[in-house]
Amino acid sequence: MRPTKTQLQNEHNKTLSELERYKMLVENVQDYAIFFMDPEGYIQTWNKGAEKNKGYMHDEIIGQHFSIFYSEQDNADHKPEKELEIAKKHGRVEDEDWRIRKDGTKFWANVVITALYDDNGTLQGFAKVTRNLTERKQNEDNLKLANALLQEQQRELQRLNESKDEFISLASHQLRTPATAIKQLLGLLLEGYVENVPENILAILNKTYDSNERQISIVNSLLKVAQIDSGRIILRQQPVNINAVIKSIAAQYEGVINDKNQSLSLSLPDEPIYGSVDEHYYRMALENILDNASKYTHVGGTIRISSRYIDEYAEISISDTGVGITPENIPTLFDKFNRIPNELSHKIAGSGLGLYWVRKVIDLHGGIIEVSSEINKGTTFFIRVPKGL
Amino acid sequence: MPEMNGIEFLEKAENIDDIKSKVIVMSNLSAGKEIDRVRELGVQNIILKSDTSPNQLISAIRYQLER
Repeated sequence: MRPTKTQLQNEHNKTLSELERYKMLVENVQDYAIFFMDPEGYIQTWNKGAEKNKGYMHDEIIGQHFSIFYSEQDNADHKPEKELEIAKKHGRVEDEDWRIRKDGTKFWANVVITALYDDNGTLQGFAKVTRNLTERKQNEDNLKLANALLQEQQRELQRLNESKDEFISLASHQLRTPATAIKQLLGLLLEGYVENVPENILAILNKTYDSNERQISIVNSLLKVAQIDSGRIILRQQPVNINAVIKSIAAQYEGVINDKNQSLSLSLPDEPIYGSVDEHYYRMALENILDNASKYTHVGGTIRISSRYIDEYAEISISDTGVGITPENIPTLFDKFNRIPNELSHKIAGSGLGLYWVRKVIDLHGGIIEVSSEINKGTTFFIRVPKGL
Repeated sequence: MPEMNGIEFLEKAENIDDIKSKVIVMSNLSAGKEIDRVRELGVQNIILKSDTSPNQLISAIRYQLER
């Protein structure tokens, strides 16, 4: 059945209002420049977004070629024409680049050019949609700059850190020289190479010798720490029976422990416990902990050592009945140059570097060190290294 | 030492029979390329000066002579 006149009229009205809606849609969008170009690139329509973004008013831009928005260089490179070609070939082309406003200023744009065909497949022109991304680009550029700055600062910090380690190393080595002279000269007097040195003088010389030994020990600690901080320590980890290591250290420390009338008991399983360790450094770490256990325990106290597997680790625990550590002091226990004041600390020579070094060594092994303690009751250190399979 | 340092001496003396077993190196360097070089040149007995009193030096020499 043929449509009635009224029906046709209604269709016509509906289409008109649909057209009007589209017109309103495109014309009033402010954030995007949306306009129609003919197949040669001449501008046929202009919306509010285009006015805002590009600065040209409707009447002055209609009929102009869209290459007016491109820079001199882009025009010399025939960029506008090339973009139209790509849009014709692929249906659309997208680009992000600088575009020029009426007043000559640049803005960073995201541009999409879409080729428009009628129902017969004939090219009617192009739709160009442009979005101003200048703010986003500025943010990106600022981020890149900030990033580059941060990286440079990081490099500088690294350089400073390295020169700090070199300085400590150099100073420490140089300090060894006068300390050595004192040790040797006092040694001559104390070891009997000079006859008839009066007892009272020997007593003073002994104290001087001890003081110098402490100095040497501090220098040794500084050098150890500088070395480990500089990252120059390369561990050669191998499966080692840690029971054997601890037994040998215990034998080494028997004298020190007996001197203080302390008792040392080993509670180790018969079967070997294998840890993946660099024995040279692992020993030094255990020696440090055992040494502390004895130093910070009164005369007559007890030290217990045991070993076991726990999770993926081989563990040695060294337990004492010494002065203990308060909960507030535990978090900073392993910090550099940190010495916890306690009943015995004023009598004990310490640089505050031992535990820092021990933790670093255990970290490098891929292990963990933990401590549990009660003031005046005692302390236990748990030294865990990866299982050595 | 006058005229040359210990490493230079070891390099020059490399051809002397069994020189390495007759040398104790005393140094205040505990690590580094000089110590590595000394080991390369075959000397095993390296003692740290600041760890060695006169008597300890005598023990080290005795020990070396007895080997």
